[in-house]
Amino acid sequence: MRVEIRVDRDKCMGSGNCHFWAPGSFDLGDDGRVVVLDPEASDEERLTVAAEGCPVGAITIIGSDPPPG
Amino acid sequence: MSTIAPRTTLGEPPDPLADAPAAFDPFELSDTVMGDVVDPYPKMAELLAESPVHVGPVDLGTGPTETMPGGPIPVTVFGFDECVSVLKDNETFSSTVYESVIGMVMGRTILQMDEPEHRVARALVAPAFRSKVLEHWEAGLVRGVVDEQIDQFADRGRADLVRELTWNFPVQVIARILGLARSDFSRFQRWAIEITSVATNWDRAVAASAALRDYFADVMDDRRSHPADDLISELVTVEVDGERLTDEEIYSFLRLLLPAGVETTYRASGSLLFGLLTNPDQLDAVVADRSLVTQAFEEAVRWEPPVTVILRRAMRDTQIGGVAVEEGADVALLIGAANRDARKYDHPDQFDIFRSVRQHVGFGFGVHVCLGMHLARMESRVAINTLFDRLGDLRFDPEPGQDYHIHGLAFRSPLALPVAFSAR
Repeated sequence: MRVEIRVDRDKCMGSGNCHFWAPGSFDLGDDGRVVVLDPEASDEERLTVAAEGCPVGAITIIGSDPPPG
Repeated sequence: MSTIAPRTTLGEPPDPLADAPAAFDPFELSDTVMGDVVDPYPKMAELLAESPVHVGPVDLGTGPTETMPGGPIPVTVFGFDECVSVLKDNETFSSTVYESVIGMVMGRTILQMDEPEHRVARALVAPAFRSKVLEHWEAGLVRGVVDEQIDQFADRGRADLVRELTWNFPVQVIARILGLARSDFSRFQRWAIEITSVATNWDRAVAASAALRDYFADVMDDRRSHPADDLISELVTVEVDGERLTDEEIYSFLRLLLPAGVETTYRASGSLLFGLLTNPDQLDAVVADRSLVTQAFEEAVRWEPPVTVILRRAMRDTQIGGVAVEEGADVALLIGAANRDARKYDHPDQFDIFRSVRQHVGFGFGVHVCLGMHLARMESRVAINTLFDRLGDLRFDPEPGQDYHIHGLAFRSPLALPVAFSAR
């Protein structure tokens, strides 16, 4: 299962909640808004909590099966 | 024991006795810290099951809420998804509802601002509350504060962890992060209590607000000429996109830290300890595996959020969860009820640090989500870890008939945490 993380930096208000739940996958940049690190660094449950727990809904997690071959 | 004389004049010089901690028992201000309701949750669950959104008066066990005759009919929201939808729609549901009471005492703060002003103002203060910045305070400052509190009772084998730990450490942490002089701590703590008791003693809160303004004005003057490694120095110099904070904005923000940053953490850490002490199997698990402290705190904020109600005002005719809401209606979001919505959580009334659904609205949601949540998480984690490092075999040990349960309606936390333990 490969995971893709999409973030909307215009929506982001820098709560830091994503970094709290999945620190290997999210951080805040120098401008105080989200940056995506390694999607694989957190298990699916933590990524889901990070996305659901984003107070402004700026995070989407897209799971996909490994490409054929 | 003494009582506190209400301050009736503004800008009164500091009371010389204020620095004598023994003269001040904050628990005599029972109106500040206590509420009569022990468990409002069965009633909330009943009303939630009837409908996640109620229009008109509701009775949570203290009598029906009052409605202004002729005005828009107020709305109470009990459901999780419904609370989230309101908190995310900050254009329809305005925070200006906070102007009337809290704003008049604290001053104009981010709490009562709408977009786009809120975003600009929050960006100025937000950097100081990011988790990376907070790490800086963790090892020395917070741990030091908690150690000092525990030193007072570690040899005794018994303690009330509310009066002797959770009550004291958040205000001490804030005072040190602000960079206040140690000799001012007890005075600061008294103002903190007085200003947060606005709902029950208006005059005292207004007087404390003025006293804090004068006090902060002096500290800010000093930091402008002698910047130090503290939050006040940062606030007087911070600039984002050419925007700076005015003095009045800084006073207001610093005052807001007292109810928002002190009272909530005191209550939340007490309820966390209550949850663990009443569930010894979970207590043992956390003591043995400290990586569980983080999720234990989150569960405590879900199960017993220190603040159970958030207010908004509808700016136009709208609907919440299919229920019609009038323009101008006050909307009370019962986040305490939402955090126990049986449609979202299994066994919602149980404190369960191992539950699978972790999302909650105990810190609010949307653009106004708690600015200090990472500070609250860090402080509480350090406090619990320090406590477990130093005391073993921690268990409830109440006096006969002693009430140590969680009380309150809008603000909740245990009245006392009488414990016995062995020093490690």
